Amino acid sequence: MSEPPMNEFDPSSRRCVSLTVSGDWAHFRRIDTTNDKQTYRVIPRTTVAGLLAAILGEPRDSYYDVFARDSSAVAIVPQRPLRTMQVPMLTLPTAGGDIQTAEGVSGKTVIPPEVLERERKRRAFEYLCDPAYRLHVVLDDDEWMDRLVDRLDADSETGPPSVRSVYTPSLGKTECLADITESSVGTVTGPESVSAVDSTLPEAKVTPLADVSYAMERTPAYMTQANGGRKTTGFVSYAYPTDGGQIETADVEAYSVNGDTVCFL
Amino acid sequence: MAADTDTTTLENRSEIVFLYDAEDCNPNGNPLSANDKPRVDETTGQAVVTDVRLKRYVRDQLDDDELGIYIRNPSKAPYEDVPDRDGLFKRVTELEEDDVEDMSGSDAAEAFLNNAADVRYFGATCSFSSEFQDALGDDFPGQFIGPVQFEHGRSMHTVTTKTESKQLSTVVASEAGDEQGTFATDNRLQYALVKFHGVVNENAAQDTLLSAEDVERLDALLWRSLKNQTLTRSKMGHQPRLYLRAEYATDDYHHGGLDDGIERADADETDGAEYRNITDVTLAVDDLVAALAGDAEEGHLETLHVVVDDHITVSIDGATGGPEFLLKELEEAVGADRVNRVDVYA
Repeated sequence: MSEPPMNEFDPSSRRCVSLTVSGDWAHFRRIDTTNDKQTYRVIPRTTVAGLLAAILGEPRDSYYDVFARDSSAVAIVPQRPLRTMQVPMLTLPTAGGDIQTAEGVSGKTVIPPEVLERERKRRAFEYLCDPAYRLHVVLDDDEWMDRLVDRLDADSETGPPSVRSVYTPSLGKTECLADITESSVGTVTGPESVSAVDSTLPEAKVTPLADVSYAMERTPAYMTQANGGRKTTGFVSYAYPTDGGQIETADVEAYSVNGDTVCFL
Repeated sequence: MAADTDTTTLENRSEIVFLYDAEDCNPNGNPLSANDKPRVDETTGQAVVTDVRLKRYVRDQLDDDELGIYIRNPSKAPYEDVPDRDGLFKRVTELEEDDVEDMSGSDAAEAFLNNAADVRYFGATCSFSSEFQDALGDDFPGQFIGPVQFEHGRSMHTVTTKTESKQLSTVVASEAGDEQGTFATDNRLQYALVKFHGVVNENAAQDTLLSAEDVERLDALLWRSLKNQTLTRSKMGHQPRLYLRAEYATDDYHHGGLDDGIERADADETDGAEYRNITDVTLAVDDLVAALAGDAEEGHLETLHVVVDDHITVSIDGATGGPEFLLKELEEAVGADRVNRVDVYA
């Protein structure tokens, strides 16, 4: 399947807000699994959008245009090796085959209570342990950028930033509380040709090299509002370092911002 | 009719650090393992306790305190008294379908939240029969997001599984009505000092009507729930050790990672696998005290609510002491008038 053009927004010479998000746990549910609740290793671009919207207190489904392909650029730099742990839990089945359709009952969860006890399933949730990501964000919407800089206290010149967030920031699931640190504002320079990047590297830009290893992943990148909910409109495949370090490649166009060499998504 | 709870609006955000320990018991079984083995991170050797486990203690305590909860404990409720989803709503609110029809969806939601304390704290997903949904009206929200969130807890050290695990002498039937049961192995940890971190969000509180009074209740509730709801065979041996709730003055602000400020004083020398009880552990709290002092100085901290167990030992700036030493240091760091020593049995 061919990927649509990854990004149609030029971040060159733009103001960029950078922040580090970390936590004891994260869970970015892979959409291609059902019973096993596996996680992506790298925070998906759509989750970054949700996280920043939560900081600003934007309502659900209201912010997708701000993070669209032609109005935003996001680079994600994994800061640590990405390790996972299985945390199985008892859940009620709501996956397609488990849903029991009963007449006169609406909604998804239609399990009769008398079978509820019996039908409670043991599900393996996979969580990331101690993840940390550096995020670089450029938005066409100046008003959003101003508010992000303000909320993240990103231009603080007196000591560590005092981040203020309307809703509690989390890494995927709500119990995965996120800490936000080291926010700053910079200007994007480039592009220029480099041989190694700090961020995830889009698949289209990967040139395999001898003795260089990395992992690949494909996650939702863009979304839109549809039928009272949301719909993913684009995925992105990228390489990421398994050790939290750089990815070496051959001659890739990349940008510099706030001390990192990055490819934007 | 639904009881109207006298509530005051929640204005301040809070961040919670809660330490409890588990001696010779199973702090949280892994339901996918044989015989519900304790959850242990095999890479680090730390015990893990899910947020769901902690919230179950709190829900059960709310139930015992007769505050009304939506998500009841199946093992505490008689099997034949399992209401359907509509019935759950009716039981919690004491409203019938006719009453609900005469109310707006938002009034029905208010009645529900006023009578389901656990939903005010932790949220819930609600779905009902289409008839009942129609009676509730379109503006009844299907999902309440909990303003109180806890992370999964972790032990502060490597844990040791008890080697003398025994076969249970009781026979456990795998299904009701079975005459023949199976044997189970008893899995316990020697010792685990578990640290939990949580945030209470005042903006999300508006959607579940979580009140300032509810948050104040948490100070005693978590402590009491760990004492009162751990009296079953596998959980006997729990003790709350330290509770801190930093209540912030600045809108939309919380420090974040306040739990990271508490470490083991001997972390450089040992992984702690030899710990057997609270007297083996000294907590280095320098970073916590510094973080709180910084927040107080910046005007972010409103009040620090504290409960300290008699048996803990802390080190600050090289000096070591007990509960009174910790409380004095905290008072010095943030100002004595900002420290509220909570009496959990008041």
